Amino acid sequence: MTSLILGLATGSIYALMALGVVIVYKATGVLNFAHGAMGMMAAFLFSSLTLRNLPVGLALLVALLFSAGLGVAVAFALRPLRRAPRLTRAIFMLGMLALLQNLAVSIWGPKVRMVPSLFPSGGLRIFGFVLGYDQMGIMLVAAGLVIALSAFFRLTKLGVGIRAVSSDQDAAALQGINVTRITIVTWILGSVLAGVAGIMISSPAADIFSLTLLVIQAFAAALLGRLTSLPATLVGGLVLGVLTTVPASFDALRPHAQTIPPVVSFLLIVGILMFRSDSSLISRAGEA
Amino acid sequence: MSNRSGRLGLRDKVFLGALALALLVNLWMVDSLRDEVAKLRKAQGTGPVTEALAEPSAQVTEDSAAAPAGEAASSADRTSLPVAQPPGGSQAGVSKAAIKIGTVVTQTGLVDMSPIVRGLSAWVQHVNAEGGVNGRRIELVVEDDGTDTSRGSAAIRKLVENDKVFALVGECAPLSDVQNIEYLKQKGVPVIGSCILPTDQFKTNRYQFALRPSPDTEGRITGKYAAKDMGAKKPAVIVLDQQLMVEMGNGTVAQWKAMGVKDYVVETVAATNPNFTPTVVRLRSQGVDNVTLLLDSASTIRFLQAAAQQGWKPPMLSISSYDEEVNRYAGEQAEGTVVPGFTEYLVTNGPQQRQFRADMQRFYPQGGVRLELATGGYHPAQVFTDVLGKLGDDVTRERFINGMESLTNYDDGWEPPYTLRSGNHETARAAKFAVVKEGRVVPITGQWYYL
Repeated sequence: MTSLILGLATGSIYALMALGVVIVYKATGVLNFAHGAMGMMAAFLFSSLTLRNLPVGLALLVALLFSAGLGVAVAFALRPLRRAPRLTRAIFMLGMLALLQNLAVSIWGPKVRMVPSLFPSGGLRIFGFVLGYDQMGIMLVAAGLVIALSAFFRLTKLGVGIRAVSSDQDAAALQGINVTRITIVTWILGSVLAGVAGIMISSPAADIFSLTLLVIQAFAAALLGRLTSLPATLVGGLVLGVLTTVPASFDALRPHAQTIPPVVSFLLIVGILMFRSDSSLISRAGEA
Repeated sequence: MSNRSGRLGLRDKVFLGALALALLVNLWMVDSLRDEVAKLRKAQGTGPVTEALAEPSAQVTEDSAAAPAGEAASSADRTSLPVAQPPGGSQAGVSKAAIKIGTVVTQTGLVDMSPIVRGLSAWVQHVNAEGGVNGRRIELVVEDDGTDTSRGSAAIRKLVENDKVFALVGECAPLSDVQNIEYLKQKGVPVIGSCILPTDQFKTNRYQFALRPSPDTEGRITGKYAAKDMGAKKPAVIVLDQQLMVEMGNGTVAQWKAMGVKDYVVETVAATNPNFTPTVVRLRSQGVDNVTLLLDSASTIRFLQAAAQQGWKPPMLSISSYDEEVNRYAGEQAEGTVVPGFTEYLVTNGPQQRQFRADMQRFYPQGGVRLELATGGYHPAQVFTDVLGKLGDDVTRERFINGMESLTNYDDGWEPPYTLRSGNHETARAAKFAVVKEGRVVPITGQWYYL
């Protein structure tokens, strides 16, 4: 039971990271390899601001506004490529990843940075261990975001617009939907989600590479959610967390406990890409 | 690439698979770099350093007036050299007036190791100011690999083939260096003070002189200290899943086995690990009473915080805790953590350390140089010029390597006296241990702790 709960806690981190990946892919068809790097930028800005004694709430607001701006910048940078093949756009995002990493090193240097937690210290003792408030917070935020975003896509005009654009951009445009605006909003949403995830996950300390690397697990969780469904992504993240945590409770696998996550993630990515039906990967419309 | 219905075709899948693979490789390389940097910092980590010295006005040193031979060398003991074969022709990088050396140091891109260049440059300037070595100035050519292995390989080839440097000194471009070990071996270029060197190279590569113990030995020393001096009955070692860290972890485990410690725990940790609570809970449930952390800085802080959250504080050793920033971030949980160091602590303030401080102050008066990294260039430069000084006028790479391999009970002031021989380029198998007190790294004793 202990391993299961710890696995769910870890899985919620993967899920939180994956939500933004799914939303961007749903609406734009772009695999955002820079998602982790975008989260890292927000987390580092948040860290810098709090170290300059800005209140945590205000620092969070500024960091997320920055994330929104970053989303707008990426959306505009991608505009010339909106008709380009998927591969071209994916490569563009790999370039964006490298750009953000280097930008972060230029601004903050390669050193580790302290990122204050948004949650109180301590936690609840259950099954003989302490489940931290921060871990509980991430689980709740991940679940809450899935519910809120699902409602957003179903109940709001903007959400329906995103779904329409994700289904068929040309048809959506013919119906008077401003595709450019929808695309920008989607990138803002994706980037802010990256920022939220980055800030929450990187506490208490992170370096530039940690969040960037975490994108592997995020993709695995997103693929388990078929890159379309937010609830399925949440479940995918939790499953991934359990898959990567529970085996370590067995003696034979313990020496490899922490190498299991990337291996499992990568196998899942390759396996799903190779064996899932085409339609489940690409039918982006109507599933929120 | 996708068809009109939007379905993924085989090509899409292959492309996406290839992209995922490329990303993984890319991230692995970045991850490796992070490990190498952590390893480097650990290797260079020499305790509390509060002063920061200036950025240089130029990275490449300027020569200066001549001085008597040998006076520029370090204060280390000198030994006579065996008679070497005379050079068969002109030696790369050597002229009557100067000896050209080079270094590739990662200064831009993902990491900034430029303080190593500052340290190296400081000693070269010091030597040239006193007239050079045996009347020859030292010319330093500095390259930056920009955290790009292609650029790094090109830079190393440029130094060897175009600039025709005599040796690489204070070499520290972690990704590029590992890729070019064989190239430098083939070209017969001595490398003094390479910051990254796998364990096997200490015995098999006659051109590499890392000027420290091998990763395996460092692990063994740490393991011995945990089991013997800290009294661990059931120790654990948490190892970042990267080559040199794993080599170090293997050394730790080998030492425990040799000491008859049968009940121990080993966990490898991926750099992507976002949650150390499962690790802490597992270790605690297994009754672990001592933890050795062979992790990067961020992972160290995260582990310590996770342990604090569980109210668990076993005796710990940590290679990253030499960094006082790590201890500040980890807070109370870091207190009492033991830190192994494999070069002399700057606070020891021996003759070499005083000379180092004076030179850094002299050549970088504005401050701003991280001294614990700068020693990574200064120390090998001192050893290089000292051995060079013993060669007299007949300077060849072969004679230089023989000179390095003739160092006997050699005290360079940064490590305990060591002896280098063909087939064994490890320096003394010793460390100095410090402990974290009120966030500062304080040496436990002034004595070297031998394996």
